[in-house]
Amino acid sequence: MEKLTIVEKKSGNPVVVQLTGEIDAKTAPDLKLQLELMIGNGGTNFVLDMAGLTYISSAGIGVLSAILKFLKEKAGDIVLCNLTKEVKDTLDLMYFTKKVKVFANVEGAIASF
Amino acid sequence: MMNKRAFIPADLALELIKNIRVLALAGKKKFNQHLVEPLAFGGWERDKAHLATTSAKLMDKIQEEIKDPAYEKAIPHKCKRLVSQSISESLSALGDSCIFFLERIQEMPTLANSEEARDFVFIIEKPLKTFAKETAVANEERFETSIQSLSLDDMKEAFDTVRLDGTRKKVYLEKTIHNLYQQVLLATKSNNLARCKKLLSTYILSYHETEIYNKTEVETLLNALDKREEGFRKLIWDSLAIEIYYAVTRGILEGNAKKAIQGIRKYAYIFEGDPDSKFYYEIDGLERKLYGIIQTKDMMKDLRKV
Repeated sequence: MEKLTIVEKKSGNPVVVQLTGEIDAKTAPDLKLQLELMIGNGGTNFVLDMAGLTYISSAGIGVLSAILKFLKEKAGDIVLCNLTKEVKDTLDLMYFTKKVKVFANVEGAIASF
Repeated sequence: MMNKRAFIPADLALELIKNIRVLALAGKKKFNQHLVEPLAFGGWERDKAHLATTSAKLMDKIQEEIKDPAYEKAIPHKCKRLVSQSISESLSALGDSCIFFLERIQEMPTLANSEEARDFVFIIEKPLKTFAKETAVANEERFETSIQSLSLDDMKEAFDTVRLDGTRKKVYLEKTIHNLYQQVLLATKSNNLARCKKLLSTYILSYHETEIYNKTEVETLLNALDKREEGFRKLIWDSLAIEIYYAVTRGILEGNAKKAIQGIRKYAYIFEGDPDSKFYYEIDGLERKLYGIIQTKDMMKDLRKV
């Protein structure tokens, strides 16, 4: 089973988080915990760099939905960038790309805030 | 060795009911191994000579007696007698009797507390859960095989959510949802929690993915009902997870991959990746197989058009 690596590449506004590996039922709780910690440290706007992400299940999409909802209530947001084909397909199929903005690269995602 | 439970929670009774229904699809041998033998070895079997009436008639009689408070204390014993005699009657009679007993346990706290109910669950819980575990493992492979042969049209249909394309259809659905919602409110006001649970479950299961599902109102109702009866919210979500998971399992066992896929997607929408929800890992395993096949067969571009 592939693991999920979560690295905070840039702090401040927005926070840039690099995700590598897979988000499924086993790794989704860790993603939730890490994002909540970053929110606890003052993060309100997030760029999730998914270049190294090879799989996401609805457990992962559920975590992103819940965090997105929480952030929107606090005038924050999440944007995604560098999506692999597999991940983009799944996010499209679950209509998640209708809820978040998707960018081709990190620079474009940061500039959107 | 498991200890005997002090009380039988409603969600456990529901889970056992679903296990028995799936067990009935698995054939005689499994039914004997996971239900008949444990009950017989547990000393619950009665001789055929004792059969005075059929279990179907006995169920009708118990159902009538439940309405009369004078019989309240006799119900647990009568339910035990029902199960005991149905062992010698037939496999379907035993299945029906066990489900009848478990359904009444769900509805009646006094029965859920009784020695007979605790004994019954003590005997059947472990073998049924062993069966469920074995089935879950085998089902991942069955599921993979069945979706391999699914056509693009079938897959599209399985992924199609409720479409509100025509005004008439939309009006009809809005009316149905409105009526159901009014019934939920009425049941809440009359403090009929069992009916509330049933109606709310139906409402969430049937309409969660539609545009006009009233999430805020459902949350308000759940909060209010949870204050009235602690654990109501957990009970309803656990029951929904059990319902969906067994619809998926049934779909796989019956070779109906479309039904299984619809269940997996329904689960994803309702539980939104909550790791505390029942069958979280089982559904996740099936979902991985599903997306794997979709990628391999390059169906994604067509499915996205749905």
